[in-house]
Amino acid sequence: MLKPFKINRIIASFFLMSLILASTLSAAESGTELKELRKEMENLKQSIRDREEKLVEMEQKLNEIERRQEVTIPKTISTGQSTSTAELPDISLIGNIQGRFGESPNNFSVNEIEFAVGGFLYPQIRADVYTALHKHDGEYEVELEEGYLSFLNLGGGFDAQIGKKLLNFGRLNSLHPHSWNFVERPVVLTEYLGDHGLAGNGVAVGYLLPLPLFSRIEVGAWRVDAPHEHDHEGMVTASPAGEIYTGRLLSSLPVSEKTDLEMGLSFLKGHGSHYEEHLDNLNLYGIDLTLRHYGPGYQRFLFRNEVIHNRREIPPGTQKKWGFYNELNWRWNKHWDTGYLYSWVEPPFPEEVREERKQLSLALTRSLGETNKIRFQVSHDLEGEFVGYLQFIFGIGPHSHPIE
Amino acid sequence: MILIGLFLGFLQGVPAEGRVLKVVTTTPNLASICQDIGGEKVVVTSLIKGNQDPHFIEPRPSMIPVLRDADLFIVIGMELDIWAFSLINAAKNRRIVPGGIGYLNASSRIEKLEVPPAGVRIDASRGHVHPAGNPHYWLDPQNGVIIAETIANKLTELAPEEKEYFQSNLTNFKKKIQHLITKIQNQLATFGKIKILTYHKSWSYFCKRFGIKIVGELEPLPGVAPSPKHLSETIELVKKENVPLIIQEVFYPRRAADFVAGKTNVRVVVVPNSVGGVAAAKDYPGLFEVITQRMVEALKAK
Repeated sequence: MLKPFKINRIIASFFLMSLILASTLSAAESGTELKELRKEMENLKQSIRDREEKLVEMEQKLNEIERRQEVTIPKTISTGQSTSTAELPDISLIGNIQGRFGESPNNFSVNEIEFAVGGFLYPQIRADVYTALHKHDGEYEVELEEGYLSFLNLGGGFDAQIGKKLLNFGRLNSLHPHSWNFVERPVVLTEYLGDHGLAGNGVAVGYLLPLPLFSRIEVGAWRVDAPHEHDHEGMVTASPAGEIYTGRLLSSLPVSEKTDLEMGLSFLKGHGSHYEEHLDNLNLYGIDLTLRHYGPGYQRFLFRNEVIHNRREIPPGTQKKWGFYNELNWRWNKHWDTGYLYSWVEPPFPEEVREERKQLSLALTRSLGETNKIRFQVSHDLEGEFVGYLQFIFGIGPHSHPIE
Repeated sequence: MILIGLFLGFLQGVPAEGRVLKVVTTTPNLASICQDIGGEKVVVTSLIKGNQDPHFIEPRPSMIPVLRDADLFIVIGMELDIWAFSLINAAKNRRIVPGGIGYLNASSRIEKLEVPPAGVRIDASRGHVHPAGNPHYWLDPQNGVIIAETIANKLTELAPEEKEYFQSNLTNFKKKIQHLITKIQNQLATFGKIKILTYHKSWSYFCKRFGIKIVGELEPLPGVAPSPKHLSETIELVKKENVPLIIQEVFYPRRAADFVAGKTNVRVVVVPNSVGGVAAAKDYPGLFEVITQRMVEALKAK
């Protein structure tokens, strides 16, 4: 029989061995579990990575679908003048209320109301119509100012315009009065192109030259209606009429980051307004320079010159006359600008018929918005008298012009 | 010269494969983001400078040649840069007309703020209101990420062989912007709830992102110059709300802000809203660093 001590040793050894075996087994199991856990974690990580990649792929597909929807069914299409969700044209109204003071009688009235409707007919084809209600000899008359189709891109840098249009001669003739920096047209343009500017029915073709600097050449063929007869206190006027051919080259040279110099050459061949009564052949040659400098903030300085040579063949002989204007305008903040306009012209008549004309104007303009202005101007007119102007220009709608 | 012009005009139709993409943007912010995404695969030109008010730009003929030759034209949209469309019409480049493959409206995927409710009449009686909402969305750096994604998708469409390159740049840009947002949040957090006055209603996106409260504007209505009556009311508002800062862009006149500051304890902080608006705002992230730095300096000085 075993002694109790020996029995205890055996039992203790048994327990010890069990313990060791259990620990070993447990350790082995933990190690396996750990490996399995690690493996499971790796699998999970891979699954997450796969799902992330799938998510990115789905996001990209969604972006692609959204982009395609925007291209085919855009929520908004900008027509260039306003944002529209339907095929609505741009409709605008521009008003010009003007008061003249200092000559008798003083006068304060609505000078002109312009209605503009325009829009795209087809990709790269626009129609623009401008009708004006303006005062003429004390009465208001409706007139089609302009109505034309623009083929903006015929390919190869060409474009065309067909219809009735203010002709592209010089820098200022094609601009509407509400775009000017002054109340009235320079006298050189009034004498050589007419009181309301020179507009004709015809076609113009333009070409954007493939040069690093902006250069555009345009030629046009027009029929100009006989101009209104304006009798400046017994004096007659003459402006182009009948079949007219025009040519213009405009280049813009960026002198610096903030300064542009625009140079233009213009040519017109046709008849003077008396051609139905007698010999009246007319050639006009123009050169224009515009310097724009943009300062800090809203500051902008503009200096513009146009010189025109008028060669007119009439029965008394060929008249070779000159005229020019220069204009300076300084906008010093968002709301205010000021400037002067000086113009001098030899009317296209023998000197004993008409004398030269001069004009000096000083203007101060307060802009209430992009198309709303109040202007104060003092002018020294051909009579040697001072005339004051108070002008209100207001605009409703998105009307704007091509680059001016 | 006409034959050469026609030949060069034909070349305009040649796809951009295998050459660097010529990108034109209306603003320097878009240019900076596009440069970050496009890297050496793009040449980017901004039509305007960072110190110019993008609402109030006279389109210049000198802007036309670069658009004529562009593969891609990116606009802010939402009628902010509507002046650009006369340039598109004159540029004779079919790619960049709205809807064309080379035209991109960067606002297309932006969640817009302050969109006028349907049925509300929008006209000049409300000042210069944008019917599509507040267009100053680039001033939320998170929107910069959306702009970047939009640009990356478009660049990939134009140059699919460079997809990985653009995506890699996009990933880096996203990381940069995320880091920037966190940094700005930490910088501004020390000042608690910040209240500001602004000159124009242009800081809505920035303030929403960073939890800043805009108590009012110096303009009584968007685009309408500050009036004496409105400035008088603004002074009372500043005192009542204890507003510490007036934030305004570099191109706005200081007169109104200085007047209010002279009657109250508010400090005027002039900041750029565009890359290049000041010399230190060299890129899109840099723009926000300058804005935040100036705000923080002003807040610390109070």
